[in-house]
Amino acid sequence: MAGDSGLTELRRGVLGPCVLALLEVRPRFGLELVRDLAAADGLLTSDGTVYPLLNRLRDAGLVTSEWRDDEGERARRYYSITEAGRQSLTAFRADWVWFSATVGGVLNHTAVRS
Amino acid sequence: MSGTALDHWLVRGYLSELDAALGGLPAAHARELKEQIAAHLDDALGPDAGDQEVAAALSRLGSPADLAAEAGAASGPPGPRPARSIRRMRWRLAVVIAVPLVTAATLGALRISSEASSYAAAGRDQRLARLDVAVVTLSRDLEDECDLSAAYAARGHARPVSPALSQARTATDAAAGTVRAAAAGIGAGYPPGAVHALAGLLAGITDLKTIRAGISSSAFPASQLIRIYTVNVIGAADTFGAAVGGAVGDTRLQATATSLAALLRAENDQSVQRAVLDAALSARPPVLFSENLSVLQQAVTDERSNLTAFNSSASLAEQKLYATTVSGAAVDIASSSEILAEQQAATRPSVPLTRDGLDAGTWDRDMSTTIDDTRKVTGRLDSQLSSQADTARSHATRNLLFSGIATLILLLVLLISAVLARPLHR
Repeated sequence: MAGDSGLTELRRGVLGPCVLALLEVRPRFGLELVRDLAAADGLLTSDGTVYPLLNRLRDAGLVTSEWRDDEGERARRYYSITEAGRQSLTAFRADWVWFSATVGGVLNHTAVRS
Repeated sequence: MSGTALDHWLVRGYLSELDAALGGLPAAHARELKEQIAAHLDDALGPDAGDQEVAAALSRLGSPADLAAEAGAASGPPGPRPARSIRRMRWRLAVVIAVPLVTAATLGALRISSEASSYAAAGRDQRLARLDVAVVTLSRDLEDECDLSAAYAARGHARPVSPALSQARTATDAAAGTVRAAAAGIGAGYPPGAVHALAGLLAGITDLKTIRAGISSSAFPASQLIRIYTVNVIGAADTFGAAVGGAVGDTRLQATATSLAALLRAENDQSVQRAVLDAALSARPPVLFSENLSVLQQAVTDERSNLTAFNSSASLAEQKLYATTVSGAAVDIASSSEILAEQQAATRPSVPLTRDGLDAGTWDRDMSTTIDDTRKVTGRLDSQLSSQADTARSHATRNLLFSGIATLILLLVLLISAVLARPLHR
């Protein structure tokens, strides 16, 4: 973490809300979710980390999973957002706007708030 | 079975590596994660994926060690150590704190309750000892009153009563008042033997008024008067003294109270001897009638057996104290005068006792010396009883305080250690 200017930590902090945001659109299965996240450049350090994260979100009650049989295909575990997950995401969105503005302001030597 | 990417040798290697890396995780978590990773690879790779494609997918997935670290600790870098042993340690910590706490509280409570009951017992002993001391004083005053009353009756109930007798009555009443005051509160919780004996003594004190009225109305001859005093009041005091010996819990107190009771009975017997012979010598003519002689002889026998009882319960020092204190010319003269008077009354009844030096005044003085000497010893036993009771009580008080404070400190230390251990517990 010393070498990458804290990017790993930053990713770790925002990955959860990003997963929630994707699931808010529709339920997804693991690989689908990984691919959508990977499509957003630089968000994932490694594909594997998504799964422990999903499990933590599920333990926190923000996400649920269920086995689903799509037509003809084999059974897959699908993840979907819960009501608590939606609330958490809404809160994060509000926080993020403020937070990114504040950090941006400080980084540019222009205080946005006192 | 062939046909899925999971059979690829690189995938198999990766999964078994992952399996090993997840060893520290709870079994259910590990199984779930493996299943997710396997499903991911299954979905990501076709059955015919080439080595390069597989290697790329595995490299994107991240190393098994990183995955395990990510799954094991929510916060960052490869975590210190597995959650299971931490949970076990927390549990042990709780036990290590709770068990001594509960043990200390229980043992402390038991200790305090036993010390509290010793404290209460020592308090009862102390009150009984104080009451016993008051009863000894009352007993002396009763002896004097009895003897003076007998002499008064022997002189034919002359009115008014002698100043010495009325003085003795005043002293008795004061001592009786002290006994009543010391007796207040002795009842429930005390040994029934002592409570019963005390009730007898208090009834005897109440009887005093009737007895005195009887004396003034010349109803009683001297010998009967002595018996009434002895049986109704002095005997009740003796019974109480003996009961205290059995009622106190402390063994040293028991020994002292028992010796004191025996010596007090001997002192009563001496006083009866003084009264009988005094009455005989005061009568005109001075004759020791046979019924009075038998009272005298009985008193001598009783004194001897009570002194034997005293010697059997008293310590060597106490016995020696008696032997050296109750001695001397007056004691010897009183003793020989008594023997001579007994002999004469036995061989020549109804003949006046007219020996040289044997008159009421001399006898009274010499025998009173014997009695006073005995009283010095009972007085010593008295103060010994008080101080032993006080010492036992203060020991009990200190023990109670000690065990209370010690338990409190122990509980405090344990509570503080529990508070200090809290961060570890989190």
